[in-house]
Amino acid sequence: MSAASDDRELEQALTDAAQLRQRYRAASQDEPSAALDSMISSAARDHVSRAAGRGASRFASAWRVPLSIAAVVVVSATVSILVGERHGQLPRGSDRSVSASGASEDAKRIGPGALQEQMPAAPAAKSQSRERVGAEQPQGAAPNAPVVILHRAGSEVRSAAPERAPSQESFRIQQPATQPPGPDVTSPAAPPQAPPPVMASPSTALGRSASLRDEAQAPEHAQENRDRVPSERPPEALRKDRSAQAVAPAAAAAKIERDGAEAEDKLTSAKPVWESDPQAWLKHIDELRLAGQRADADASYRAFRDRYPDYPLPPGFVVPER
Amino acid sequence: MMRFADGDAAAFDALYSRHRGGVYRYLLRQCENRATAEELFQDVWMNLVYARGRYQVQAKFATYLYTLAHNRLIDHFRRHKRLHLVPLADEDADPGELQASPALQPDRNAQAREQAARLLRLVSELPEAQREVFLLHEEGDLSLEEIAQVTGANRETVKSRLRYAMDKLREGMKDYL
Repeated sequence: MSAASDDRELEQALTDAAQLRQRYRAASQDEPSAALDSMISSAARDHVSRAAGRGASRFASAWRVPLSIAAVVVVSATVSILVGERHGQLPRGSDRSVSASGASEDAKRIGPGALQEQMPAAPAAKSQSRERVGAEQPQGAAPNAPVVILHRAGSEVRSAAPERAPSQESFRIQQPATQPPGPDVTSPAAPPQAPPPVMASPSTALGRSASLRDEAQAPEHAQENRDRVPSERPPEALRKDRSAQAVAPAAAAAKIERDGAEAEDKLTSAKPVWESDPQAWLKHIDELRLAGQRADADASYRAFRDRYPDYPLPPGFVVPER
Repeated sequence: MMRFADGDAAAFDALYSRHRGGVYRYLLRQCENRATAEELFQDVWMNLVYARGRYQVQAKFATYLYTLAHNRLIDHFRRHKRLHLVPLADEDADPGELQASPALQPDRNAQAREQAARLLRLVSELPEAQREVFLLHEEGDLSLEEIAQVTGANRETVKSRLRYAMDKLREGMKDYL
């Protein structure tokens, strides 16, 4: 008997048993209880939800170690950078404090212009330097010379650290009481003023004059210095500065030269009065010659000619000879 | 089933509502005890839930589901040495009704109940292999090939078992047909 005929026989048997099958299906109506249905359904839902939670926890557990390592690396790197910056700044800051504390000697030796060149480039270091300058200012120091230096240094520091609040710039107000009540150049309300004329020593004045000449010879540097300061100046001071900036560079250079000449005049004020007056100088030379001090007269005449090479000699003046 | 494998709990409800009756009756007719059938029924569905992540589409879902039920029954029979419990029909029906002649029962409903009880009794008296094939065919609506896949027998054997089962049932119910 082939499989096909067997299938046909089975189909026939099933057809013949259709009534039997129908009766069986009618008789077999057993169903699981509702409690069993709800229990199975809730168990399935719980399993699905737990599986979702396990999936999330599996993700968390899989990434817990890498994330922890990454966090440790980030924190370590940050701390290392901060510590490195701090250690890297301390020597610079201490150097600056040393140079600033000895600023008066430096200024006397090389002048404020050179001091400007020594100012640090980093704003933080400048800030520290400024604070140390204020803190290490000797109580019994001469009031004038340090003030000049501090003004220069303070200007430079302020220009390099504009983010500091103006109130924080008034550290110089807390200077020792031994200082004279001069104008507070760092007060936000006070307009910027030129440093007080200080003639503590000729070298200081010469240094100041040399600095002014340097600025005149390099107007871009002077302009740069002026550009830095107004950021913390009051508005009226800024207006003045801007109007001053509008002046031709030649006028600015002439003003600087004039300031330098005044400084030199004040410097030479320690010399005899006749050296500032050619006629009086010639008269002095003539008096030396008549007094028989020919060597002095000759030396003075040579100095006169060095100073006034084209000055016409008055009639009757006898050139002294050795 | 794939939706349920992806975590869709509503898909499980659809599957359950569609197959719950057939699986339950398949288990009930095989183990012939309601409490045992419910226990096995719960185990089958829980196995389905736990195995959802490993489910792969290889056949009709009903074939997969009845394979789980068949395996669970095999485990049950191996564990309990195939205890022949009181037939299901005897739990509710009066034994005297089954033995009484249908011609003597004027009540039509009582006659129908008697016919159903007898039919179920005949089913329970079928040889185990024939009964299983018959139940898979009637309760699970499985084809010969699907029944062969569930039981692990070849198609011709399944066909033969089904024919023998139908012949015995028809012979036992000839007085009522």
